[in-house]
Amino acid sequence: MSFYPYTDNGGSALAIAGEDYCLLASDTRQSGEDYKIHAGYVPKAFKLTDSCVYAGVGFSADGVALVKRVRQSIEWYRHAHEKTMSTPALAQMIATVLYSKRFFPYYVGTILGGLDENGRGVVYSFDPVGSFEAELHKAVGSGAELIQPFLDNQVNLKFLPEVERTPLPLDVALQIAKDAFTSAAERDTKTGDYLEIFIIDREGVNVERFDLKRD
Amino acid sequence: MATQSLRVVPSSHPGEGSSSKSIASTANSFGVHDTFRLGTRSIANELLPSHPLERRLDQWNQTQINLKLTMERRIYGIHAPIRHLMERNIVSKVQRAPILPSSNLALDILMGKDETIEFDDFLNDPELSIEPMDLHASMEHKLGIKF
Amino acid sequence: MTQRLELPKGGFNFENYQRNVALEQQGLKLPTPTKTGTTVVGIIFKDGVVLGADTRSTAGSIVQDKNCDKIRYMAPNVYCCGAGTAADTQFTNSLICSQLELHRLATGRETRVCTALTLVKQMLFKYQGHVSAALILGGYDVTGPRLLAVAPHGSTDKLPYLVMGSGSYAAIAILENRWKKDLERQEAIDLVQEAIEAGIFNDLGSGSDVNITIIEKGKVDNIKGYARPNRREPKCRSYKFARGSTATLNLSAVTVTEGDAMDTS
Repeated sequence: MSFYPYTDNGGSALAIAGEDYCLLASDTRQSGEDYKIHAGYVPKAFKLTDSCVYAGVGFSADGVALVKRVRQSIEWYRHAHEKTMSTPALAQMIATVLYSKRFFPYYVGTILGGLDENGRGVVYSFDPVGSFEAELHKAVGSGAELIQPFLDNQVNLKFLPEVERTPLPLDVALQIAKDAFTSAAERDTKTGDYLEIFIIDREGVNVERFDLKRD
Repeated sequence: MATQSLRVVPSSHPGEGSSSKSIASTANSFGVHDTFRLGTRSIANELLPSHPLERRLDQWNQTQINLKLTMERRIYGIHAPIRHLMERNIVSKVQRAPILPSSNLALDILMGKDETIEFDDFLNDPELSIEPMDLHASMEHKLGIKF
Repeated sequence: MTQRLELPKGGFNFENYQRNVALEQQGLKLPTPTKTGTTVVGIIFKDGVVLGADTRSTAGSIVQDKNCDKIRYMAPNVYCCGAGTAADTQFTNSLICSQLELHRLATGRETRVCTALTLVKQMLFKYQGHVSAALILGGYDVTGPRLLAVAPHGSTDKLPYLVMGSGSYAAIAILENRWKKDLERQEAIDLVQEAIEAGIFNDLGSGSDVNITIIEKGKVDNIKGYARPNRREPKCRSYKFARGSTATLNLSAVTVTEGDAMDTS
């Protein structure tokens, strides 16, 4: 029985970028090893600025530690430059923070959802050691394999070349996010309990909470 | 195997029960393993520890039978197991070639297998096996004829 | 040797064991068999036995089957709940069920639960726990209501209330709190439902519905979906695709005008 510094607390998160909004949804269940549930409501998604939300799914302790570091950096930046960090700048900063622990990584799948300087929605997804990319939609966590193909089909309309591509309105994106999570909760034992959806638009950040299956 | 052993289950010691393989068992008239007819053979692989259950299951039935015969000998005398083994012997004389399946109702009745069902009866049924089997090679092996 | 010189034996085939061990040492991950995760419960009440089970089976952390039946027929008056590897519980159940049928034909008597128990425990001990089946056997025979449990290595328990599976910790908490001797039929059913629901909501390996079986003298009630606390809410949108959404590269149509009519005699 040797000490292993990581554990998988499960859970899933997704983010969808729209024309003038961004949507980030995550479940709140924290599970343990061997089918245990630690808690039903432990948020994984946190508001960073008025135009950016972060979600870290995987090893819960690292997710919390990372968001603390990032929030401290945002404060320093505000004092040094007298303005709030923009989302792309935040993304670059998070990548650097993650890479600084390249040899003892933050064991989290990170996604960042927000508005860029032009007010367009943008999603950045990171791997545990800091490689990142801007995307239109991304799912992370234990249910990622179940949710990502669904998003590819419905948001990106992949493999449906005959369908007309129109920008996705916010209410449709919300429905897609909710259905993605209710379906993931059906088949992934580590996803469930509650769902938090952060909506970032010109007016700021709003949170909506929904129930998910608790079994 | 000790005489008059009251073992209920096979021993879990790897040492007990003979475990030796020799080239002589498949040698042809040149004294070496007949690769052309029988394919490659690795004695090392045959002797290496196999699944922990394999030996146990192989010896299971024999252990139960031995227990029964030992008890009979102790209670009734030497004649009881001898009679049983004699009956079993008479009934087991099979006249078919070694690889041809034959059912033996009399043997099943004597062993009590006509009123039970085991994993062996429906898993990997020998009559349904699709392995290639050469009648002539098996007869030669049985009769000890080497070419 | 590629050619057989004797007829192969029936039973389990260990031929690939050494190869699998060698592959694992080189880093291959072997596929995991479906486990049932599971909460199964049995209690004795005044006139019989109540067995309860959840309906989820898992492969790792993914739900394999949202509605599987874990309470299985063993004899007309004996039912068996299985936890552990799904294939092992199913095959153990089938084998012992057949053996009991032969036994009934030979003896001409109603099966006793302890007969089933002895057959299961001797078989599981023979396989040294490699057949990973944890079973609860419940029934009503000449000795009255009977509840017995077998663990994968072959040890058994005879108790008035029993739990098995990953959700057993949650379920036993409810039973230890509220089981008492000579419960009435409906009280017993309610207690089993609560115990299974405790497993469903507090264990990730258990979920979906509660199945209940009540065995009394001369009668058995199988109630699938006695409680359904986990119905899926309706989806927000319809994901029906319009005709023509999928691209066609090539279309060839064959009109069939003649040919042989199907033989329906």
